[in-house]
Amino acid sequence: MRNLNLTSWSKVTTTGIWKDAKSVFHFNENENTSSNLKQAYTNLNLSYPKFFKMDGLCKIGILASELLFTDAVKEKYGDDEIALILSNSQSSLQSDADHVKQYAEGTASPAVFVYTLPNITIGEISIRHKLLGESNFYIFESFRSNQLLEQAALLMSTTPTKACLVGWLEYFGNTVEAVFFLLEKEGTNPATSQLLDKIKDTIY
Amino acid sequence: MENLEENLKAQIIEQLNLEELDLEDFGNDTPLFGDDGIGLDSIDALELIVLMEKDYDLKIANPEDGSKIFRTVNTMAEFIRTNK
Amino acid sequence: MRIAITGMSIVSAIGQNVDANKESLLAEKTGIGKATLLQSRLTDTHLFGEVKISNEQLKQELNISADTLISRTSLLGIKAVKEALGQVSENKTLRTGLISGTSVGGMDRTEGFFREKIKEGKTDRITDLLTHDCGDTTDKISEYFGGFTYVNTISTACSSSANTIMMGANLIKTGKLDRVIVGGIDPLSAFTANGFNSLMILDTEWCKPFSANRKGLNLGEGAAFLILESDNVIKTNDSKIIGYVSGYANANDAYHQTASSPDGRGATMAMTNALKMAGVNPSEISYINAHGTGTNNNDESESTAINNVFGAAKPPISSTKAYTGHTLGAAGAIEAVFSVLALQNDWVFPNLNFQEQIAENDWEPALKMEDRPLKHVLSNSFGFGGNNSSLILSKA
Repeated sequence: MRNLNLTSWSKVTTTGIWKDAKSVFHFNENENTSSNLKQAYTNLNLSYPKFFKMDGLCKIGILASELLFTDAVKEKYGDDEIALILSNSQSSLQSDADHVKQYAEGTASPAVFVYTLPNITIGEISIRHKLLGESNFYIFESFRSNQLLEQAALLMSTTPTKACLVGWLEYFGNTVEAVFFLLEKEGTNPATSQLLDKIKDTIY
Repeated sequence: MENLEENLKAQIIEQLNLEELDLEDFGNDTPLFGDDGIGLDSIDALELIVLMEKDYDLKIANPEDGSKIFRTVNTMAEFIRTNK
Repeated sequence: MRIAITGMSIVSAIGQNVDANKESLLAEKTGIGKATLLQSRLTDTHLFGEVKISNEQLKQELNISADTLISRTSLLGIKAVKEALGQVSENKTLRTGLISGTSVGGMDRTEGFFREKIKEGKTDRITDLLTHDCGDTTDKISEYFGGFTYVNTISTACSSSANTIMMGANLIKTGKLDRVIVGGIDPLSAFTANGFNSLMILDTEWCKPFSANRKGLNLGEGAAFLILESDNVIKTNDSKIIGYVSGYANANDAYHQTASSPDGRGATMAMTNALKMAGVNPSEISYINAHGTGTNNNDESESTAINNVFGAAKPPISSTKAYTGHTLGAAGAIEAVFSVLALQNDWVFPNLNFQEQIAENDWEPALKMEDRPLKHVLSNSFGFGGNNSSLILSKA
């Protein structure tokens, strides 16, 4: 992909959080995901209480994007120059299931329903980092790095986009996975499909 | 309904996932919405309507009434006492 | 390079093909009323824009065997795509894509399974869950017709299908595809009915977009698709150009999970950038087909954004949601088809049920079917998650 560099990446799994292959936080295997995510929040000094109102999909999205959108990165770009393209295969399945359970029992919860769309994660990340750029959410059967790279390149050539976060995130039952990639025009690490696949598939 | 106000505070924290807030962090007169209070938002207001219906059997049909009823813990308690 | 529209189709509460929709629009006839097919506790109290054809009837019409595992979403989609494909000649050498937008995917079958499970403890229909995923709804359409070299599904709430149009146009512009079928589908479901009800934004009567006394939206269902081709491809085939996609943009409102910002920031940016891409001034827009859901929040925020972009010189504006209901993921494509119909016939559609002007607005929406020469139509689609898209469609 011409003019597209992978300048940083982050990963949240059932065992911990990584940035550029370095461990940022290890999850306690005796704790459940929810309390591990809370520990990570404290450890990363987020001080963003809204985090606790989010569903699991948004929580891992916020944690993964927090590591990439450093002040240095955000200062480089205008508020409409960072695009977000995320993808998964199960949409917002965990919140969907929670919502169905609640209305089947009698009363739907608005705070649960608002998370029954996968692109709410994009909304939460945009609110947190004040991003007004283009965004999209794709449903793929499995990770398609080449399409994410193609779309990022396309946005950079046709819209104000100068940097693009692309990624995959899934949260349902025992599946907890977010792999985010920050793509920028400047850099020395050409973003290739093979590189993205390797990062996603490697167990750190 | 002696401890109504205290119960309400605990319910608000629990129901709205206000994990970083303790019972001591806000008083019965602290505004629940807006920047000078504990900063609840419109979805929280809808959750409070659900809470009133589920736990106190009180229906609020017009979401706009919520802004008066949910101003503070005291106004919530007053609404419950008047309508129970 | 211009992106030509060479086919279009629609299945909505006001008609099951383009002609039927056209007739209802002209007759100012709404499709919103009592739901007879949807199974939900809200069918007694609320009105819906339901497509009056059962899944069994759809299967029969489409020659799909009765025991095939397929969601209503895919069935509505196949019915629509079939109409669109009928307008262009088949050409196996063209690299053809299919991009569909949906928010609930195969929820209707999932609900069928759980209804039986909860009521009777039966789990024999567990295979129904195989059609749950949003991506499956598109795959089923692709399998039915065959021959697509590229298939994708977008899920960005109520802007989903507007975003498929943008993405399809981009894939043609960059030479990745020669022809692309873009659009979206959402069926009615207890899932969305209960959810929107919990947000207290459903009107129990007919919705009144842009009316001061509006109380909320009516949910609708439907599917619509457009066929996009590049000018170069059209030179080599016999496709008839019915309109152009001349501009589009998407921006995030970055304000709230579901609500739009009071200053309409994302919407303003989407409209402004779409105009920029089309190379068109606001004064050259002949009609705005607004998102206009009928909720307090959307109509107020969208009005502000329209004012930001157009100032005092606003073209006629209307929302067609009072005809079809809010069809969520399908809305962007349904309204793009309406916009092409407007351009083809030089019509401005009326904003049904309007009663009182919003105090802050210096305009009221178009109230009667209007004949006036149209050149460019702006169509807005704003989704939860702050996902705002604007399209500019132009006369062939």
